[in-house]
Amino acid sequence: MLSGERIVEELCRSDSGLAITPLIDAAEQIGEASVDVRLGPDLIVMRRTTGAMAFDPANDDDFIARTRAAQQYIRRPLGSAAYLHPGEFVIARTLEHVTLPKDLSAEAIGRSSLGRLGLVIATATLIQPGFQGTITLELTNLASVPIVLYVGMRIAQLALYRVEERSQHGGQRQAAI
Amino acid sequence: MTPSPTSLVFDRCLARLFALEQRVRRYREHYEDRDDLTGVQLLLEALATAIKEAQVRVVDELRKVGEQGYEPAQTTSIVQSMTRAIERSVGTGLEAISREPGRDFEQLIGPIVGLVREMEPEIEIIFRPSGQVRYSLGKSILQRLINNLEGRRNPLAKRLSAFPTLVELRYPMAEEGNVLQHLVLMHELAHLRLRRSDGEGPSLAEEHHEKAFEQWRRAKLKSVNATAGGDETSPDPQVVDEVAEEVADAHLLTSNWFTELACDLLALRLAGPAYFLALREHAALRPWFYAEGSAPQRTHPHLAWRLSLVSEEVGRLLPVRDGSDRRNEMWEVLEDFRAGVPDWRPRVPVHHVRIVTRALGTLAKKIDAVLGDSAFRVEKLDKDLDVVWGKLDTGIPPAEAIGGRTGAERGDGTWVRGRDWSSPIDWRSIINVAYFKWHADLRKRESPPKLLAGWSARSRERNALCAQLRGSLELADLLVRAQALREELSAFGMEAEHALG
Repeated sequence: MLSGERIVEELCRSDSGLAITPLIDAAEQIGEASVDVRLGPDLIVMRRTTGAMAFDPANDDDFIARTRAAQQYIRRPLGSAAYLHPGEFVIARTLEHVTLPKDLSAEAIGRSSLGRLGLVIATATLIQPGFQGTITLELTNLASVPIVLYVGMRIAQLALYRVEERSQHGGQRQAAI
Repeated sequence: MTPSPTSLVFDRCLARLFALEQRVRRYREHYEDRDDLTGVQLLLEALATAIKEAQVRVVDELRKVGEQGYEPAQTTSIVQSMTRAIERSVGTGLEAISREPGRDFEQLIGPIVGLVREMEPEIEIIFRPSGQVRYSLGKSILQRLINNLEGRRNPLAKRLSAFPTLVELRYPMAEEGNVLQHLVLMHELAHLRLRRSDGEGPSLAEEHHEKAFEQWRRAKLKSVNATAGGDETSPDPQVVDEVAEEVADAHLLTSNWFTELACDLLALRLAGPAYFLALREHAALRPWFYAEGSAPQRTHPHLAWRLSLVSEEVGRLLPVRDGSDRRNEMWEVLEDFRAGVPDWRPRVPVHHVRIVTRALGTLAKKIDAVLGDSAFRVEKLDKDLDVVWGKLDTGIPPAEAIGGRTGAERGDGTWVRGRDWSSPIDWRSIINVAYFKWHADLRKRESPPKLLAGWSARSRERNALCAQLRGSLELADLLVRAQALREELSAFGMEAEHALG
């Protein structure tokens, strides 16, 4: 696992292949062994539906159509508030674009301060070496009180790990928001 | 009781205005979260104001009906014509925003709006995706609305005059995400500057063209008069009549052509050297539009003339060759693009060339003063070049230049906030470097380089580059905004000890 010192070094070295950009406040975001990432302006919220509606991945024909019908893309300006109600699910992405070299992987972890309010930030948290893109966050409020999220707030943290053997991964994985 | 014919007219007018109000409201809801489209928000506000005022006016007139000496026929006619005028104007306004700029164009909105505000603070742009394959600039939308009202003394016209000038900027919808090609938009922005005067007098375009044209006109009359054996100081009216048509035609053509060429000069100084590449490619892909004998030839000079002019000027905006590979590669790309621009001189009458060239010469001398802070700076491009090129080489979005560790130094066991860790890269540096680098990379693979051919074979690669650039522009813009909001954003980041439990 990379320490904060090592992360700063790697980010400053132009040939390291690691980039977390833009880092708005590096001193605030780089921790002892992690980098805080912020909530980006793009959100996909689930429309409230009535009647029998289910996502069935086995039913290829209308899975994508149903998914699209149930989701709504919205964009909020920096600093604006978005309410996450109890039980609500929102797909978001980090403000930062992450580029990992072939010898580093990362893990997106929720911040404990928000976790204690009931916020879960992701279900698929491992980021493979060679990844390029923004990190998709799957936000859910497990508590019984709404949580106010602000675009640009620090919402998760990335821990970086050195991979023992260099990955052969092509590095073309993109966040799919 | 049966309503009177007069009150029926009033009721119908109010119902039509109410329907119009609902239409505007639906648009407002649709554009609710598009804070980036200031022009659209202002237009909707202006339209809502116009409708509201019209409703008040109808009710006022209705109240007056029945008052002694009041003529119902005259009143109904006024109210009906006002309602029609409002309907027409609101319809035109809503048409301008009926198609919203797509997500692939959003990243350019901030930079373009910023540039326009620096150059023309009184103007707001309404971006309009168009079905046509060209770029164009409309006239003031609210002016049409004001003209449709009953003259400037109308209180509503006065209120609308207080709004900024709202201007439509149309771009090809089919190429929404083509960030590189959209540099051609700078030509349209340059029209905005040329339309304005620097004082109370004529517009900047007229000021420069008229001086040069007048010189030619006098010389022309003098020579014709001399040929006819007349007095040089007081031309023979018959001689003046004989050349009047030629003079009028020359005035129209040279005025149009000067404006277009001047816009190219200004656009180059707004966008940077990549404007030349964009214009060359844009033209190469649309030969029918620029073909000789086509309609635009009356309004636009021959394309080869435009390309030659830009080609002569572009070298000044490229970082000097200093032996570094990247700078050399940029120059090599430029030479490739310069080659093959056809000679335009045989196609244009000499006197037209003289008038336009003289006018362009006087404008070129004061171009820095004309553009002010909005002008592109080659020093900035030179400074950003290696960072942007390097990041593009490694697949990292060139959004910020990391200044060093000063933003995250450790002192006494804790991180200390220092100066900014990084600075955002100017959007023009991003696009200029990327455009030249893309062609420099193609040169390495293709020998001889087929710069303007094989477009479709490369479209996938180019789309990927444009996607990367759009993302970079967005990140650079976010960084600028976020740095301005740094303290506020910092307050959102609650620490563990503030949390419950």
